[in-house]
Amino acid sequence: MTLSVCATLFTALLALSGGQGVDIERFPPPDFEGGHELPHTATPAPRGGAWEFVDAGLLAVTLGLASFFALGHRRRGPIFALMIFSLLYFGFWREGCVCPIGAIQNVALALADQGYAIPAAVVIFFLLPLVFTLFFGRAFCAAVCPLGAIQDLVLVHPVTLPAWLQHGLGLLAYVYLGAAILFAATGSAFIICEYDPFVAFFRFAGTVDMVILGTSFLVIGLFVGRPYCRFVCPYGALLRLIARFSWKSVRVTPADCVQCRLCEEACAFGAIEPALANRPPPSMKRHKTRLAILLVLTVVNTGAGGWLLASLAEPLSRMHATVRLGERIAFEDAERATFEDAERATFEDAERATFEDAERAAFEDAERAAFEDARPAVGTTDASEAFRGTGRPTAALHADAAAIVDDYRRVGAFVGAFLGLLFTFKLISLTIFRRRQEYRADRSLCVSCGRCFAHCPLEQERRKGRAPVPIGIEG
Amino acid sequence: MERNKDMTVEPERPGIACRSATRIAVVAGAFSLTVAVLLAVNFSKSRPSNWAAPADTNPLYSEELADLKVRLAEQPGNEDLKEEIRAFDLHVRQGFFLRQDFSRRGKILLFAGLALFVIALKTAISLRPKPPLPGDGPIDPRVESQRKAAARFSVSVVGLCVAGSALGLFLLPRLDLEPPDRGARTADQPATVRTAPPSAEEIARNWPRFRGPGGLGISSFDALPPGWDGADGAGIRWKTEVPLPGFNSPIVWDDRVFLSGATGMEQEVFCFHADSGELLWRSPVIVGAGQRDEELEIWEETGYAASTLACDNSRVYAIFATGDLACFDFDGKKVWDRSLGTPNNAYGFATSLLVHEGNLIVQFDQGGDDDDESILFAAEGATGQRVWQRIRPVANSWTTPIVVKNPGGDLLVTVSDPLVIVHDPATGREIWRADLMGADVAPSPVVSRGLVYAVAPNDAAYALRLDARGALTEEDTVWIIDENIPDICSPLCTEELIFLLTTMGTLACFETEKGAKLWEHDFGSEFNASPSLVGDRLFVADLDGRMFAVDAAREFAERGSGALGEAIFCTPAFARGRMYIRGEKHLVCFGKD
Repeated sequence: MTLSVCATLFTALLALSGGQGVDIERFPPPDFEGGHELPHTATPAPRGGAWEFVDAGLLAVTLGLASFFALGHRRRGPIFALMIFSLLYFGFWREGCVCPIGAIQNVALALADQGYAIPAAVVIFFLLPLVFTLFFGRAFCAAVCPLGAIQDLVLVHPVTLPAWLQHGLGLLAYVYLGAAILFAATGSAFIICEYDPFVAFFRFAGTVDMVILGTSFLVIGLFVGRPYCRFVCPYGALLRLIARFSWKSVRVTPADCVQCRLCEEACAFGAIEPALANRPPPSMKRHKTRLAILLVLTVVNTGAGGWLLASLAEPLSRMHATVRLGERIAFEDAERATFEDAERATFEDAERATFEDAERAAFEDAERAAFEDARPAVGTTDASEAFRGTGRPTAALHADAAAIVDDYRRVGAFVGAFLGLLFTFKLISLTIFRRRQEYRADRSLCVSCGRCFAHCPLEQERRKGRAPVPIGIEG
Repeated sequence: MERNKDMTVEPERPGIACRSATRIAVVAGAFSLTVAVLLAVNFSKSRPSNWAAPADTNPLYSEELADLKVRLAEQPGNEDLKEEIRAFDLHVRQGFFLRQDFSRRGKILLFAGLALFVIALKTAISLRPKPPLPGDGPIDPRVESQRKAAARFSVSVVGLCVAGSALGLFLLPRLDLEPPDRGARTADQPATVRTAPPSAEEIARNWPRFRGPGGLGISSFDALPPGWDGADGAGIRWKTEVPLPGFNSPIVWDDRVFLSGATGMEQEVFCFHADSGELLWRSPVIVGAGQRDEELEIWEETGYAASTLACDNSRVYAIFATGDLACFDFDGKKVWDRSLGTPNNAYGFATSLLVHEGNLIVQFDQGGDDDDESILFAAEGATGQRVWQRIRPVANSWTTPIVVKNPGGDLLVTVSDPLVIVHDPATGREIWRADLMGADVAPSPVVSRGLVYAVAPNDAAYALRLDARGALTEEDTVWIIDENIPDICSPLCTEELIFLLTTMGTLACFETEKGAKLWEHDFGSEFNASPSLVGDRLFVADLDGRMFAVDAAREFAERGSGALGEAIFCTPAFARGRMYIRGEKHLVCFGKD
């Protein structure tokens, strides 16, 4: 506990000192002679030269240490200390960029757009935590991710959420992941970065929306362990999938479980699966029927999900600036056409009926001139005016927009099918009955935080050297 | 969660440390809340009074100040009002920077307060005497089954909500990208006429672009008018003064010869009768004139009309150093025009146009190679609507692209600084690129026997395989020539030989097989026009107005010369047994009836 308090204090002090990375300007700023100080931008400058690989190397080292502390050393203290370091370095010092969570979008865009050159460091940041998770469980979430760290720090009174709520909310992260892939692969937006809840804290700058979002997560995080990681984080969703197949993962007890349930109390994230009494489950026949139906639904839901998102290509594609501009230009043209054709015709017809031929001509000319001068300008936007200024034909813009809609249809079909498949697999996993003889950490939900170790009486015995049992690592 | 009901623990009074931590947490929490409220109030004051205003609205904007400025416009001599404006402006600025300072300090205080709050709260909770209570063993599978049923229900509800929300998107209006069809043409413009692109035979008979069919400088006929001299009029069929200056070369389609000319004030397209030299029409191009604030200054040696026109069987296209692009029918009526914006070009824009399969292809290189200003696009010839466009990572250049027939499909070859890029002319898709060129690239590429020849001025000439893929480097070149390298004139290539002509007058001949040098000859004068091949004779024209005919052979042999009587900057055109030369002031036609 002392360590925890000291570390939190240390974090606060260092963060207040406003640590800045050694940024490299791509284009050197002008040398002002008047003593003008360039304002500090909110977005960190890109890492130049070898520095980005220093970051990647540091990521590899911290991942290795986190894996060792969670699986080999089995103590919360070092994990917590490493978490503090990661929060300071990857969070406050590097200002939350580059991070594996946002790298999902770069990778998606690189896969969809051959013209996009993804930096090697971003690929490394994306892949390393996945590889470590495949071998050692969610070591990245344990002590390397600054977003997880800041939430872990503010957790003061964890409340256990009902399992049904946890399973239901956990799906939202996959929806977010799908949306992020869809919008990134089509070149529309990097929504993970736009809605990063904690980057405003890391940079001491951000919009009101960002601050409110981050503060909300932190306030909820006082009582609900890591709400962003568990229910929103798209990278966490990926890690959850991979962690199911991890080679090694955290085991609560070093020997046979005594079923004291203290680990269940220690876990702030609802990741402990209970041991089941040796009794038959009710109604195995219904159970098998349900499973069969779900297996059939796998195909149906996959197809339906793919069809649904592919069909929504048009409304979803409005996320892309080019599509919005194309629609705006078409709207403005249509408005002008309506105004110039219909209104003027009505006006002229009415006036024509009122006057004699001779004076009508003079009147119409005068009125038309006044009409031209006074007619309300069809609303334009900065973007539409800039586009018209280029002289580029609208047909070309519309062709670009149509191509983007096609991209949405293609990527949307993939993302929809993925989500449909995933929802059904989730239902199947909640249907399959497995016997468990001990309380254990759910591979996909456990973030390797190490809180449960000290609560296990067998672990306490092991630490005192009284029960020389081998440390169990589930394989 | 079923806890062992028998296990009860006597409540224990928290110790002094726990109570102290709790009090600190309360104080820190109250402090943080106060700071947060003050920050929110401060933030609301720093916003414009209109909350619907965009976030980037000028924070120094003040309605009162704007009103004062309106009053000053009405009373420009009111010194008191000026003083009042100055004082008010200072007040607004001071207020803004005070709020900024308050916000910065407030954030630090809030962060510190929250950190202390969390630390104290965690401490208080950890010191609370609440030992963990062991549970009562495994749970009943029926309970687990109920939990899973609830979880399945929850997952199903979330899934249905997500699907329902997605279905709700169907209620949004459909994407409407179709502009209203209102004819698209204004009254003073002719109706769009779409004609079938000319056949290969038609193109071969004519000279529809810079350096003729394919842009290779090779005439499809081999009969050249014997005995001509522009100075004394011998052999001249006609000679007509060109109304405006320009360095663009003549192009020919059937009985029409097209040129353009421009000064800083005017730019025009001219059409001459190929038989008589009569000026059939002249049409002004004024599309971007109203958008320029001042007259564009162009390097004298490039001029305002250096780009050679291009035509097909029904339209002629012109582009000028101003970035004005225009299309006329063969009667001189404007079909469409566009302003591409004044190109950011060091010596003035000089790249020529070309037409391929009814589409006009424009290489509009400008700025530096990382400015993203250079573009390559294809526009529908009949309407000017862009079919495709690519942003090019290249700097300004003066080369003209060529389209090459290839077994795998036509290829569009472009050369610029620093890249040779080959595209699919139908879609603009990039096929391959080679990072070989240097700065100030002017010689245009040529092709022969599956090889592309690109010249980096004063540096080297490279032979590259046309069927390459990806990103090429110097190692991928078939051969490199590093002597007699031109800086303006484009090379000329036959199946076996390639000829390089330098500005200083050295014509050199190399083998296309390995790039081995065969001969060189110094004419002793300067050249800007590129060489042309008619039959087995090579024609080169110098700035003194002399034209030389030499054998396009492995050994040098001069076969004659003639003089125009005025300087020749432009490459001649050859069509239907005639030669058309644009001199400094005249367009001259030599040849048979």
